[in-house]
Amino acid sequence: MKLKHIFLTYIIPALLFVIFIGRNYSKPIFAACSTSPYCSKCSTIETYIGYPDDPVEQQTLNTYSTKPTGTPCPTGITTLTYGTHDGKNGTTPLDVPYGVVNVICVKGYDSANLNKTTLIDLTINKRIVFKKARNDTGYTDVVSSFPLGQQHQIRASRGEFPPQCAISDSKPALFQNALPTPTGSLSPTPAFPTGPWKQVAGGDIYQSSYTEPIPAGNYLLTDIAGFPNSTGVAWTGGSISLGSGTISSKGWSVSTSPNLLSNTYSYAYYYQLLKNKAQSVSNTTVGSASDLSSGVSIYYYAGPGPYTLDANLNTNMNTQGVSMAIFLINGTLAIPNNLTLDPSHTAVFIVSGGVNVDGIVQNVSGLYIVDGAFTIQNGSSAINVYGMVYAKNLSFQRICSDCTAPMYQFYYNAQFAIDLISIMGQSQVQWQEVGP
Amino acid sequence: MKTFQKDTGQVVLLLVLVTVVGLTIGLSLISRTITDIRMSSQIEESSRAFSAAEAGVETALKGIEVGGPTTGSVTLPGASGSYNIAIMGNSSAVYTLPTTSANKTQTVWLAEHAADGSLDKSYTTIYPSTSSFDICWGSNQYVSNFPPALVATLWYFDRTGSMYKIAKAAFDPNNALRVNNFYDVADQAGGYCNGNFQYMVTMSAADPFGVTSANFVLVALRLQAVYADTAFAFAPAVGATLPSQGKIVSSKGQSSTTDIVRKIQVSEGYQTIPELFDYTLFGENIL
Repeated sequence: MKLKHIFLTYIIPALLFVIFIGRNYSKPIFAACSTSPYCSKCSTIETYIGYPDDPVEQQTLNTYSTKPTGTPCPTGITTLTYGTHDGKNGTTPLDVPYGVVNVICVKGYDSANLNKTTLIDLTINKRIVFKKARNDTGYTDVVSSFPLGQQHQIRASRGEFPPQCAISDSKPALFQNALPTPTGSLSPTPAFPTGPWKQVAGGDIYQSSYTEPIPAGNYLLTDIAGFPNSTGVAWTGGSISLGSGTISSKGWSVSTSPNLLSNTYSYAYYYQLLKNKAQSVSNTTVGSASDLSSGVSIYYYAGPGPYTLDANLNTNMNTQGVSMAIFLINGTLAIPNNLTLDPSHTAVFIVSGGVNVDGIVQNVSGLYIVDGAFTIQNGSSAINVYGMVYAKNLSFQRICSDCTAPMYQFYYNAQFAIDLISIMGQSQVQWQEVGP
Repeated sequence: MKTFQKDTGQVVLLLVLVTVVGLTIGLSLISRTITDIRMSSQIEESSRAFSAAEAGVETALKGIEVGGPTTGSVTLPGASGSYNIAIMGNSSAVYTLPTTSANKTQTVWLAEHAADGSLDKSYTTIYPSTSSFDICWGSNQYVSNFPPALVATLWYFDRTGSMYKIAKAAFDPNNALRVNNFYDVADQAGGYCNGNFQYMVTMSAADPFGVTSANFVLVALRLQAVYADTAFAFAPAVGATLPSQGKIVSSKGQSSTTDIVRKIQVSEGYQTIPELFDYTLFGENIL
């Protein structure tokens, strides 16, 4: 009897405890992203925006920051912004004050390191403090002291991790949703925090989805000044979430869900269409005066690049008597300076790679067909794009100190459309046999 | 002896029967062969005629590019063809555009083109800027909860500012279901534009596009099919004429040895740009 009592009281619970602990600790804790060969496959760039230290709230699928108090983007107050990482970069274990955000594979890039070639080890602004979450949920960073209203980029996970990256913990479900776990009594969220936002004047816009807070009373789409009713349609294959802002005064939107639109008029398409009319250029500077010729509208830059846009393109077009220039660029294109075109000029850039607009650029003109990413690099000035941008990927990285005005404005240019008909247009032909 | 005579008659009868059957089969085979040969010959001659008609079309299309003659003829071995190039549009009649896939765009030119097919930017011949027009779409068979909608983009030239501008309008026969905030379509009874369309909107530059300045010319109207495929039709106002929209090539081929004739009709609209150019910003993915 005594032996049975000892067995039930001590041995069985002990065995159960060992089994339980063993199961928990047999699972891997977060793998080190910096050493995981799969990290690049599971990570995307996310944007964090700093706000005063109020309770955490979701900004995008898996980025979080503290919500603002008062007007958006006040200055002079430090913030708390949450992210998580593998905990292998010299972090200090601490508690998490506002729930756990299970975003992993974090890599940080300093705003000065625009080309993202060097991992900064999450030391953005040198004031970030890492905190370790509860042991049973892995490691969580608390990134503190972002300047208010400024944004930083962190390479973070999006959605479900592939098994190779995973990095599991004792609560694997959290990886899929990455939702914060609020604690305490949170009051209803006030106006959605606004960061840099875009506005399209005239014409339509298409994105797979919109998760872009716009200040109240502002629109994603608007008229071009002096062009009544030029506001277009917001097309999407997903959802539209504009925070306190709205689509347009018209409110026109089209959902193509469950289908997403894709651009079939790519570099390859126009290369086949235009290659026989193009003049080959062997120069890594696009649009140099020496390469432009009167009577020639199509220029082919075969590679390997990378290419840089001539800062004097407009002047060069005037000098050489070229009113329309179509640049077929087999590579990437950098735009380091402002580009303003005369109203009588049309410039088209059809790029097989990406287009990188420097952080200092404030005005860009032209029509851009980009098979890669159209990137507006980090900078603090607003940018106006006078023309159209059709790209596989859009990456807008500006930061705003006053987020009440759009940081990116795109203006439809009907002149381009009319001018390009003769070169990039095609006829619709219909054949049919009719009765004798 | 009697028996022998009876047997002899039966043999003759059998021979006659066999001969008749054989002759019937032979004649049938010969007839069939002759028919086959004739059909093969007709198919060959028809193909020659069709090839001649195609050659006429090709010649005409090539001539359009270089400003060639509007009529002409071609000769092939065993066949000949003739073609005629006519103007498409340039009429006060209803102009019907081909079926357009969802999200694709058609262009109705409201300004005349030059002889070489380029847009005549002198804008001396244009659709009257104050005249209305009817836009029809949706087959009469489309009566359903998922009819095609329309996004219309007006291209016009502001002479005062010497610049091209756009104005847009969007219509959906079932905007309540889709919650897209498109304008209502008042005319949904069907039978519009020669009785072939289910939906119609009467438009002008002023309404719904809001273009009311005094010094502008209409250049083109872009019609985009939304949600479903549809054809479009443009019905000018009474007294107004739609400028030309392209060329129609009619070509006839005829076999030299028979009276077999084949006809092909090809419509070639003026050059235009794809629907992509109606977007200001198009991004498949947001990084």
